[in-house]
Amino acid sequence: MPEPVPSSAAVFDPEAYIAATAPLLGIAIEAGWTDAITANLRVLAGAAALLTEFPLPDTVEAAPRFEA
Amino acid sequence: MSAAPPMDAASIAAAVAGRRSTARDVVAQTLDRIARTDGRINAFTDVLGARALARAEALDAALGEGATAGPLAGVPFAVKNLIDVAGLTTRAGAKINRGHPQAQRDGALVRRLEAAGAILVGALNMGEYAYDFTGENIHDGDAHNPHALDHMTGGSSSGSGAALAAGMVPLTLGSDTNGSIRVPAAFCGCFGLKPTYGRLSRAGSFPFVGSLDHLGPMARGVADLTLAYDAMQGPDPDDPVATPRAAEPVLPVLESGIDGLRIAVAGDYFARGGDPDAFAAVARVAQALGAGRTVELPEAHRARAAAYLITAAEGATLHLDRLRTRPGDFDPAVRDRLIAGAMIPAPFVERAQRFRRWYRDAVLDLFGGVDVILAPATPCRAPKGGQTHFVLDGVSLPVRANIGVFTQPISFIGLPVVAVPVRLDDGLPLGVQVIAAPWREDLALRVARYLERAGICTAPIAELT
Repeated sequence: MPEPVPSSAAVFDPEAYIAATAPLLGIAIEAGWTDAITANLRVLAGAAALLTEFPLPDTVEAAPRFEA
Repeated sequence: MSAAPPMDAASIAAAVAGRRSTARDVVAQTLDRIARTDGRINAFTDVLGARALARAEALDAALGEGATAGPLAGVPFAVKNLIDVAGLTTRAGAKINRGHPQAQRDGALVRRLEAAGAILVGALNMGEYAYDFTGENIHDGDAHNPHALDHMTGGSSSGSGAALAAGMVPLTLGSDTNGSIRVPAAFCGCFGLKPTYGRLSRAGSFPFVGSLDHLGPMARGVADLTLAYDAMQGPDPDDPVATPRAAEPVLPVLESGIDGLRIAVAGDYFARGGDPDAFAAVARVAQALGAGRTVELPEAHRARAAAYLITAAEGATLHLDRLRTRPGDFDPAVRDRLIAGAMIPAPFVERAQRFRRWYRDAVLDLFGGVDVILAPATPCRAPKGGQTHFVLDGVSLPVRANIGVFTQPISFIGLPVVAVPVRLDDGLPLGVQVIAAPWREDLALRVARYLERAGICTAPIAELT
């Protein structure tokens, strides 16, 4: 089983990330929404960290499966 | 009109089949109760009086001509408003969907229930786009918990739980992506079945997270739950994940009891992070079943995290065009979570799906040594309407994001669950999850039926004050 890869020490900046990705997604963010989106992104980042820190064998495939 | 009909589905079906009651009387009395009650509950978004009476009269006429009565003959039921009903717009709790065309055909499960003799009487309130555990809806108004009107019903199948607890119908359908059948079943004190992923067709319903969505029945008794479940089983090519398995009826084995079943309580993650009452409810059920063993679902906290990520990402993908064009028409609480979900980097989502495979295999190994696992349905009783935070284990947490802490790691891998209601005292009810291995709904329903017969799990109609 591979060792988990340490994450970068750089600090995640949700506000900057929102500003950068919203145009890519084509979503116009109003100023009053940013705090709530930021809070949600922080929760999602925490959830992602729980998964990236957990070592998975390379052979484990994603669960959804298409059967032709 | 004859005397009031019995309130449970099995008794109604027996009375209608035996011509001791007419389907028309049953439906008329049901419509009358809805009219007298729902102003305080707000469970229904649509009442289908003309359609229901016409079907009831047709059923009575057919029975009068010697037709065989179906197992749900004359049983009134209602469905969460994300399930298609011919002639209605499938609103899925959303303002945006009100502009959609009317459904041309009933959803698959509505057709199957009606083929068994049941009669659709209405569509039910729900949280917007099913991204909800509270039962609150800013467009249609909140559904109110019949056991305490100032408390949440739970969601997102809010009307499905509330309509049962208020005694308006004996049978409802809900959907469950992360707990949306089990949470309102617990808060409203009724039974709910979230079947194995792929067991019941979702054709003709508005999706939320395709890889996690389930539809299922809710009722005030296990026999009614089972009657409906059996009537809805079977392959459906219109749902890409519906199982090709033939129907496996449970009613013939429902009274088999629990002899020989290995039943354990979920420990660790499922034994902390909630009010003591939530664990007391599990302990009461475990004692009644003689379940002294504890098992650990490995890495359940990561399973919940993965379900959370997949939900946000898949939900956002579904709604991306609407987020681009009509963001102001969403409930802000839903919109802001979906926008954040749209921004999740793809490797995180794929990682969550890979973890899902690992977790599934680990939990299936667990079922080699146990048949049924017990866990709390929610971490607490129904919060007050509008309540934004609660304190669990001394920590203040947002209500919306945390009501489903104990349901998410189970539906994440599609396990079948019966949520059973428990009343510890005169206060609001609680719920316990009776969890089985994939495709073993029969075991969970047998255990639920045993608990019901033992008087441990009951779902009385609320006395509205």
